[in-house]
Amino acid sequence: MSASVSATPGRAGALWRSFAENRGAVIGLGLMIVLVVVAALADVVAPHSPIEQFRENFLTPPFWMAGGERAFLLGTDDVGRDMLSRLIYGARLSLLIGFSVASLALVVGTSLGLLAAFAGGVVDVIIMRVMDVLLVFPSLLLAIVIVAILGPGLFNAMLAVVVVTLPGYTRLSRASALSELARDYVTASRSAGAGAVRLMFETVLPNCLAPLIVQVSLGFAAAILDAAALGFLGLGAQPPTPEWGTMLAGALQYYQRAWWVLTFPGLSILITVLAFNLLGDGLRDALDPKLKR
Amino acid sequence: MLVFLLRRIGLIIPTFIGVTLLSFMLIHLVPGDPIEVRAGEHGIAPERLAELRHQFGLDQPLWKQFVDYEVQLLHGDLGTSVSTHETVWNEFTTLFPATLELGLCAISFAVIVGLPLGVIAATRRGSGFDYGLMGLSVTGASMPIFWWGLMVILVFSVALGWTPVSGRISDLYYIEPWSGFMLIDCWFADDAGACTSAVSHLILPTIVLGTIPLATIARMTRSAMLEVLNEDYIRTARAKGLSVRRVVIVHALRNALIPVVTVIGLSVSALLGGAILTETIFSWPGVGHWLVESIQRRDYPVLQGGTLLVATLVILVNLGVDLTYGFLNPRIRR
Amino acid sequence: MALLEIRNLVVEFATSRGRFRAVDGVDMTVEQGEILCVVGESGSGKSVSMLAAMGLIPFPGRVTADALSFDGTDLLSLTPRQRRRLVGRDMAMVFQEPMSSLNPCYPIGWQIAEALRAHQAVPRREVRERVIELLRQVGIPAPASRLGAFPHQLSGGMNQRVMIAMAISCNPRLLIADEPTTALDVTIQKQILDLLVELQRERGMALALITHDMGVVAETAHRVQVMYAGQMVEEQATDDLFATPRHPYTAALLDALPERAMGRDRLPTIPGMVPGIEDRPSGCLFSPRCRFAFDRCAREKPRLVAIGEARARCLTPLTASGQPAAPVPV
Repeated sequence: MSASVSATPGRAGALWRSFAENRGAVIGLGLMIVLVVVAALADVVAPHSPIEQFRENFLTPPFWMAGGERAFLLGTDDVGRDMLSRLIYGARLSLLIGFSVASLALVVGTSLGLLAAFAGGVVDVIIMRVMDVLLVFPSLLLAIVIVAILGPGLFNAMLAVVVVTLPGYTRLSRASALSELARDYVTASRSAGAGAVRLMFETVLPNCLAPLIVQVSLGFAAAILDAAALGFLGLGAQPPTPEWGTMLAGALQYYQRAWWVLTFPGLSILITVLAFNLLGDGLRDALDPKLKR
Repeated sequence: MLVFLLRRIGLIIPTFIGVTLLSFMLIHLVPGDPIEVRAGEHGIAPERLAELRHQFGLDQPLWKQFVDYEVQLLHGDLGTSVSTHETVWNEFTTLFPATLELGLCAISFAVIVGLPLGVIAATRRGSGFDYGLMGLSVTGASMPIFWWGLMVILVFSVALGWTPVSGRISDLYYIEPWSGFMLIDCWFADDAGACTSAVSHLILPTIVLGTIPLATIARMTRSAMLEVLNEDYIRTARAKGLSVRRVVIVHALRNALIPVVTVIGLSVSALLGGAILTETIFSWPGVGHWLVESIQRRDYPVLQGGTLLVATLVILVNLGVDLTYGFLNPRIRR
Repeated sequence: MALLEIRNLVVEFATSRGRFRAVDGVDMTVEQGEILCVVGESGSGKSVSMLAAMGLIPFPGRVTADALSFDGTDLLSLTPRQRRRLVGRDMAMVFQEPMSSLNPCYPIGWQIAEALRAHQAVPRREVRERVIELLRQVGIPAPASRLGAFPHQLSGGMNQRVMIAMAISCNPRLLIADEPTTALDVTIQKQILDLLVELQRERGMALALITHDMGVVAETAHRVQVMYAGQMVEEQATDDLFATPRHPYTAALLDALPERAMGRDRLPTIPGMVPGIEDRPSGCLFSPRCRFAFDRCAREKPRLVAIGEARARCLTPLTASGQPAAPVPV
């Protein structure tokens, strides 16, 4: 007579359940989906072109205020460009930035980390020392220095942010790989004759995925923030590119006259970064068994 | 303990050399020849250029230049500003107290508010307060500092008129810069009006710069406390019949502080990054503002020297954090 | 009057899969100056019942009981402050993992002194002497030199002695020891147990010893209570229990002891597993695994019945011959 065995939920189902318990995470996911949809359908959703200047309408207020117009729901900026359209295209740009930076940093950082873990010895020491040096600099400062070397522009700013976020992925993947390497299944695989590269990517990597996934989501958020900061300092995307940070830089002088030129881009940044942070936190809580109640 | 200290210092040296290497590479990677860069926008004749190149050793192999650079650093020579012709070191020491004052106020604000909030959230786990605090923390950590600063100025300075918009003190006052800390100098100058002005100028930048550390500290404290409160020794403490307050503060907090202090120390690096943006917004005459301007003015010696100094500062603070950690956690002292 | 009296104690935890009863209607008494052993497998609720008595059940748990009193004082009606005056002073507890049960940041001398000063107004000068004396009583050599030691600098056995010193510092009437030796080496186990028994005898305090080791029970206990799946299933004097177990579970436990299996070719085990949160039988909790179970067992929840000096929760408690008696009337 054996005790009845209760049906254990499938692994993916269990993950979704613990994720869904976290209200913040669900909100983050929802926001992210909205953003992706808006960004993908920007051409359809945006009422105007983001760079078209309406000479009649410099600094028009949002439609609910005196002097506002329905044509420009969130008002216009100092050269008459529609805020709402710029924000929508800005969402597309920010998501692209986040995605590119996060994936590039992920690929390069993880490869370096795995390389350091597997090669060990001098290679490991050199790679980790380089990461240590990179980590010493405040990330914004390092990004500024890199942009100073490469010259201002969105592409260079993205490259700078990749370099700045690299150490996080490297350390994480190296630590995960080292702890996996110590396990028995790796020794078994090795003695079966698996080559180093194959071992790295097919055997060890899948088990390090969980913390990396969390890092990517949080890295998305950080990338958008850093790129916006560089844009704000004039070192990132250049006008008329509708990057949210750049929009803020151009709006500084109008903070007393036209608060909407300042408020909305920043609010967009906040909401987007918040979405990815919530998502990343939710993933971390769902994937980390220690925190289960 | 001494051995611990020496070992930690030994570990730092390669990092420090790496930092100087990066700094050295900066001048050589920037588009343009280093001499032309130092000459600024005036331009320079080719013969004079060759002469100066020889004089500054730029026709030497790169590794030798690096060694010379290291020697130069050890003598305390960090270069001269192209625009002001002051030495980088002088400019830094003049401007650093402003950043330091702002940074200390910001971190104090973050700790004084964030630590208790985190402890309370942990003891009231699952309550509305807990969820509210967590929501605010994530929001605080997601905010672009530059925007937050502008919003705060819009509301408190422009709309409400409570606080001034920029600078460290009203133009009406002149305070002798004795320590470089406006608050201390005003105190010594015994001028009540100046003191109030200094404080009112500090409030907004402190809050803005301190927001992200506040959010981080509150979260870290909460999660560290939650972990510690589950430990066996807390159960033992309660079994001794100790009051809840004593268990939380004497037993739990002491252990939870260990990761929190580490976080505080490591957020100095983030604080310096945030200072760059905060100082720009509030026209605060500190190191961050100086560095940003150096790029716009193409004052590369300043950028190079300033970055090196900031990085050194971070290394020293990390060392301090390591030592404090060793002091707080008896298990790793030996 | 019993020192500790527990009747129908229920401890429930709200989990994501429903309410879980870690302790499901336990009756327990500890008399003054006796040694009571509470035995059971992991998950039987033996630790949780004692934690409930001490008021140490963590956050999502709820404690209810018909009676929960210490020395005549109703524990359930006390304010937290009043409870704290009892706990640590008249009722003390020692836990299973000595290495993690002491605060790693403070020296052991400080931690013992804290226990002293929490309940007694001891003048500063005397504290040190009292702590040294306590350390000596629990068998720590050169106690004066150990005052500043941190827990991680001492071995498991030493840490357990420190915990015992902390627990007895205010002369408790009842000392609860939750598997105090399980995490220690075998050689140290005996020393700690001997220490506990000796302290019990010297001070006349009651000792409630939670264990899963029947050998320990045989050597130390005056009385035994057997727990299964959150309920008490048998209670007897030690010698009687080993001679004539009244509950099939107890009998099966004793049969599984290697010492008793001499002469057989296979060591008897109890088939099946302790019911968790999902598969609790509606009748007797042990019935799925019991070799004497019959039809009523799966439907009816048995009550505690008295057989001679013993009490057992069974519809057909075992007789002296080891066979089930006639079924208890419905």
